[in-house]
Amino acid sequence: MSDLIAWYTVELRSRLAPHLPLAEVNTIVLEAESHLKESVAVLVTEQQLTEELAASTAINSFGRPERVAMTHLGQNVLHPFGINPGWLIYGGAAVAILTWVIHWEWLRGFFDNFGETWQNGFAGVVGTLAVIAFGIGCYSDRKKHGFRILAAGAALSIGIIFTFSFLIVGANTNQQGLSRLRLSRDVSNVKANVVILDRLDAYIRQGAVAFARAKTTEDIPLRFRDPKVAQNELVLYDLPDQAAARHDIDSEPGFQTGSIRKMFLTPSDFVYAMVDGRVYGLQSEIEFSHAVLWWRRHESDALAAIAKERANMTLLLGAANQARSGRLFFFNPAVFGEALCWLIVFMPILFIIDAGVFILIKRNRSWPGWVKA
Amino acid sequence: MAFRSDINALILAALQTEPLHGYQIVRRIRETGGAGKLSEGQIYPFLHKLEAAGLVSAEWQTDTGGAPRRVYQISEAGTKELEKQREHWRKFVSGVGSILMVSNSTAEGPNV
Repeated sequence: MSDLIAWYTVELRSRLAPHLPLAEVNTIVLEAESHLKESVAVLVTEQQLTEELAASTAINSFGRPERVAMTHLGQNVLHPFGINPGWLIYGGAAVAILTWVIHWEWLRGFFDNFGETWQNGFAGVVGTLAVIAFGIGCYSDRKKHGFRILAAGAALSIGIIFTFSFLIVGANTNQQGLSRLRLSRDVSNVKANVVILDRLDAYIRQGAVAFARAKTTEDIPLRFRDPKVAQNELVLYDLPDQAAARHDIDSEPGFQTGSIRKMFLTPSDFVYAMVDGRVYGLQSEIEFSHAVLWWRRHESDALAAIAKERANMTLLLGAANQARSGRLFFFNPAVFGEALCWLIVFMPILFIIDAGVFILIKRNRSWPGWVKA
Repeated sequence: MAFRSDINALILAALQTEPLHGYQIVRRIRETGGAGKLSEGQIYPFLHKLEAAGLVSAEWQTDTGGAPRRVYQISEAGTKELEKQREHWRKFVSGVGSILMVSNSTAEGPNV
């Protein structure tokens, strides 16, 4: 075999091998070799060319190896259900990643709570279908898609920043934001939170005085001993639904079962007011002496935490006003940063699926019922 | 010049009379000028596509005395497809021809 033809077959094989099953690559290369040899024989016989010149002429007519390889690869693309596989790859990757991100950001986790709520179930089904569509697209395109997955990830990263910054109305100083789609509801929640925080502030100040003066348990007013009384006063959560408590004062099991009769509410260093209406700000002590000590040491920290949370609520209300005045984006890395992290976490899953499907392609020539483009 | 979709019809037509190996098919199509800008090597993917669609069948011929050849033969489905393509082509030629002829007579104007 001429050196030129040998070079040509090696070049052609190297361009096809990463993308097509071995048997198919062998057929294409052998057929090309057969064609070139036939062509050389004809040129030598009919035009009296030297073998080297004939090989060069035959290769010129046959076409550059990269061009021939591209045509073969182009013909090998499958169109499942008549859809271009590129759409399935990009669309499947985008929907799968977004579903995962939303699942982890706003729902209750993808794998451990699948189907627990209808939103979880719906998002899980959509995400699973998107992954299947992505896999079918990879299979149909019959090559690796690392670049496409990276491109989809980059586009989603930018998209997530703008989407979250549009949908979540908030301030840079706050980790949470208001939903632009339910601005009125969230604003009323925030206003209610401010009222609760004011009450909590007064409650903490009065409690500190009461515990400082108290000599015995009986000296402590009932509102600092009975969580139900405190709950009613502060309107922290609905009594009939203690399992979904809006306040962590029910964190002591005895509060719910009634087995603990002697208990004291104490201030917390961490106060959280959520835009969905939940406020966290009290905890409890069982021992009287511990409770007295806790009130003395943590009153100021609790008041500072309340003031900080009240300031956050004020900033959120200010942001809501800006949104109503027409401001479109509220760029807050604390809000979209986590979504970006999840996106980066989930991207490798798509790479693994892509690699797995490619191994399947190498083993299995084609699936029945799929028409070549 | 030819549309790429016509290559399939040309391949089927080349195979209508007798089975041919790849080199012969490509030469015939090149001689008709039907391959357009496609190189010889770029015609093979169309052959493989027709094979995958069941319009032609292929098998290796090793007793050639030289390099093994892959010989292609048109199938029954391929013959039917060729007839369909011929009918399309007749309609196309007839439609385009009628427009071109009308344009030609309009340009010349009426004979007075």
